[in-house]
Amino acid sequence: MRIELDEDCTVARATALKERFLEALRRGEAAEVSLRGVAQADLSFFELLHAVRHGFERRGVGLVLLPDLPGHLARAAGWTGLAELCPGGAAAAKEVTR
Amino acid sequence: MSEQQRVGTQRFLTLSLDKEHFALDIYSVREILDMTEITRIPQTPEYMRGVVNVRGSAVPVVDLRLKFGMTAAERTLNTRIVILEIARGEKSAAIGAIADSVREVLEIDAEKIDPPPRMGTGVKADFIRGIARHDDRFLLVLDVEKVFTSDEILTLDGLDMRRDEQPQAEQDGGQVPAA
Amino acid sequence: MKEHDPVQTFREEVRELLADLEEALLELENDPGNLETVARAFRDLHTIKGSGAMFGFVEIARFTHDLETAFDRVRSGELPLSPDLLGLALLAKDHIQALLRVSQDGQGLTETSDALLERLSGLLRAPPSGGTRPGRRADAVESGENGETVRRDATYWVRYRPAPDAFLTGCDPLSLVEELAGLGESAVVYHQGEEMPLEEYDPERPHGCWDVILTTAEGEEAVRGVFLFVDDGEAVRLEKVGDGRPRKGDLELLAAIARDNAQDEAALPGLLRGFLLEKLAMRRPDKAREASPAGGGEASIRVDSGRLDRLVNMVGEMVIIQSRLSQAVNQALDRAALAQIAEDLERLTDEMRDNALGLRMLPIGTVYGNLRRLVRDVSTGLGKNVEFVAEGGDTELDKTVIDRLKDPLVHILRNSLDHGVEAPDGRRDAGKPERGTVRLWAGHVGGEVVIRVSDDGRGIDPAKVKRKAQSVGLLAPDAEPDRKEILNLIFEPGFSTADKVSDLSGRGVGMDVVKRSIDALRGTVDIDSEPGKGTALTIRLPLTLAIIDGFCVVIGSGSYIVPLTALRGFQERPWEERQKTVDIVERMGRMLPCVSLRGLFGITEDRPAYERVVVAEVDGVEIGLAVDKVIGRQQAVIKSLDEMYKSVNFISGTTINGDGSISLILDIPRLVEFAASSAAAAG
Repeated sequence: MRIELDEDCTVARATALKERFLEALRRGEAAEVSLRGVAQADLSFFELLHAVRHGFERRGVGLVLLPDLPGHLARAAGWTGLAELCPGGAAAAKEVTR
Repeated sequence: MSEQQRVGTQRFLTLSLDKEHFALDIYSVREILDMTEITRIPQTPEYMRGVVNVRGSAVPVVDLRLKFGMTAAERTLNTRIVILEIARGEKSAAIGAIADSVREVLEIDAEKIDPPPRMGTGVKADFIRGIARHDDRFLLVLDVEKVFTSDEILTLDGLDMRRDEQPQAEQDGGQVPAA
Repeated sequence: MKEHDPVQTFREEVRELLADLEEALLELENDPGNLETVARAFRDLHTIKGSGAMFGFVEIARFTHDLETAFDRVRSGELPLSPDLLGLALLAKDHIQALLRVSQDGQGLTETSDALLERLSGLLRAPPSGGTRPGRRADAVESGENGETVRRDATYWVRYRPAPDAFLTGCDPLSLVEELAGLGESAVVYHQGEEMPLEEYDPERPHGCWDVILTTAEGEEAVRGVFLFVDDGEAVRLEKVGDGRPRKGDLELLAAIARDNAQDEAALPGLLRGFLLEKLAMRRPDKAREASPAGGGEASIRVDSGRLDRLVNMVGEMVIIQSRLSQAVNQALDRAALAQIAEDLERLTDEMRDNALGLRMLPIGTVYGNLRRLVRDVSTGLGKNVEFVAEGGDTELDKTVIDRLKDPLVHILRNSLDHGVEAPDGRRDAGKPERGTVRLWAGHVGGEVVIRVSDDGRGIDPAKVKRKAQSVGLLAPDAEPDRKEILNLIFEPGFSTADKVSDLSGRGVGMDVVKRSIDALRGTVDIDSEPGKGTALTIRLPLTLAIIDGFCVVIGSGSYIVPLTALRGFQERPWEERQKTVDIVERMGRMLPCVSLRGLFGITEDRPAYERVVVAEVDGVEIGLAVDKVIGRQQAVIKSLDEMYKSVNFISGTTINGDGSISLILDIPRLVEFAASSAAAAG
């Protein structure tokens, strides 16, 4: 299934977002997540992505986070170790390679 | 150089390697350690097992079985590292030797030590100072200085031994001398 | 023992002053207008005169007085600093040295004093204004340089772990990180929180934490200010880890240290601080020179070298104990108390180490003065016009190494002057400037000390060397060695290229002696030359430091140390089947040769899916070293390998770890050489 995230992905919607991922996970269906529509994001969002990634890995369910996060969130992504989510990839954020 | 001028009795530490018994001049023995972890130095012949930590110094350890061209042995509860003091020019160096077991300290009358036989001991004749009989066994008295001389090792320049190769490969002189 | 013989102390002191004086005079030969150097020469003379009188060396006091006067007048611009005056001053310096060796009233040498003084007064009378002696004192020329600059760069480590209720207070931790990073240069490392099933994950509270390495001139208050409203005393740890501005790449390395030691929060600031200190210390020499142009700032001390050796040994053991203690901390119950001890001990160890090692270290420049004089005298004697350029005099070396380097350096320089640099007309014919240049350069390169002596003389003709070597039987008649091999024949015993035997260095002994002395210091010497262009001799010496800072890496079950001075960065590469021992990795758009240490060392234990690549550099050549894991920074007390391992190529020593195990210290220069030549061979 494909999950399209949009608008503000801040702590106000964090629980709702988590439920959405959890539901996908319960179905055990491989998921593809597009971040193109995300307008705003805070720490809770990026940490949730980490948690989701671990959650899927743990159950052996496929998960692809598409590298299509809008450019204005590149720095924030880089600061949470998720530089690869931006189209520019690792080069966008001045992060050391993991 | 000959050591024949020694008189009276001498004390020796005896140890076993495979089925042979060897004797080392007790004066060259500094201490005896239980087998411990040995850090291998890359690109060295197999019989040079590596270095061990002896009170803060990295002491090289030689596997006598491999050095003498015998088959490798698994470590057992009896395996020991004998730390020897080797004269080297004006200084001395500590070198460890792995033995299957260390047996006892013996006194042997210097006159009872015969010159080494030219063959049949399974060990390169150069390494043997003499042979003695004790309790119906033959004891090979090692010439510590010759066994652990650095010369032989120094000529190994460029030798690129890998772990998976046959350890005997570089033991050219280590076999029974041809009759 | 001559512990408290004031006369002896005086003699030693004067000898040091004379060495400094000589250095100043020789500098003035090249740069007569340098008033600071004039002042320095004056101060030396003034002190020699004053203390000479105090200790009853009346002849020295009498003799030096007039010379001091002359330099005082030069200093105040009344007297021009002529080559004659400089030449005379050098002779006077030698004379004072001679006076030191005889009785205090200068028995037997007073006539020489008078003759020199006579010549001096002739020079003093010569200039138009006979002039009176101005009454200025030495201390009038002190340059004050305490103008505190407005703001100073410093590097901070910030560990920020947002409080559980951070989101409830309406603050986004990310914006704080953004603000923090905005204060200067930064490297941000994010550590994920604990892994847990997604069901249990609470998305409304923060989980991870950050290490931010920040270089800023804004000061600690400004850094703290970022967290003004969120810091409950738990969320933020802030420590200054260094002064000054590290290079860009350093922040990256610091970030890597933070990443690899994320769990060890207590030790982290210490690790970072140590790393930066090391880095800055490596670069400081250039600055130190600027800061004290007179070169005589700090007083030197004389210490019994046996005592020094003991101290260095003690420190070595202390380092081991310290790391053992650090390990105990991880197992013991009362962590807080133990951690404190470890922290204290670590600080003390660091201090002691620096002090102890510093005691043995001397700048190589301490012998430059003698060498400069030698070049001057020898080239004058040979009728050659030679400029001697000595650089990197602040490169520090172990005292014993410096002592043992003197003779080889003298020999090399003599060779350059004798056989290298041509006489002025020869140079003119060759289309070169009449004045030849002999250059002495010293510096730290990749964990080694490199000393290079080069000249722009006639160079060495390989064909001639080859013929000569064949004629003396050093080379088989049909041998076809390459250029480099031919040149290195010069180091063979009994080799000399000079057509005529000179009284200086052409006696058939020579470079072989140099080579032997350098070998004895566990160094290497290498020659390169181009006929007509010149010759360069490069000496490489291991830093005979008993302790180095290194980075610990692991391959299979073995651990290895990469000296920090050669370390440039880390990256990763996936394991591929059929990986060659020397392969290629990409780093910042460039292709580097990468050595699989696993392959090189024949290690067959299980390998990880991803290898870490340690990027190391020597002499501007970068290579990658593929290893399994990077552990972190570690102080290594060097234990050299037994003689039995002399032929081992890529290991320069061992070190004993806190748990008693042994790590091997990688010989980075050899590895670089190996990688570069393998890569070249592969095309």
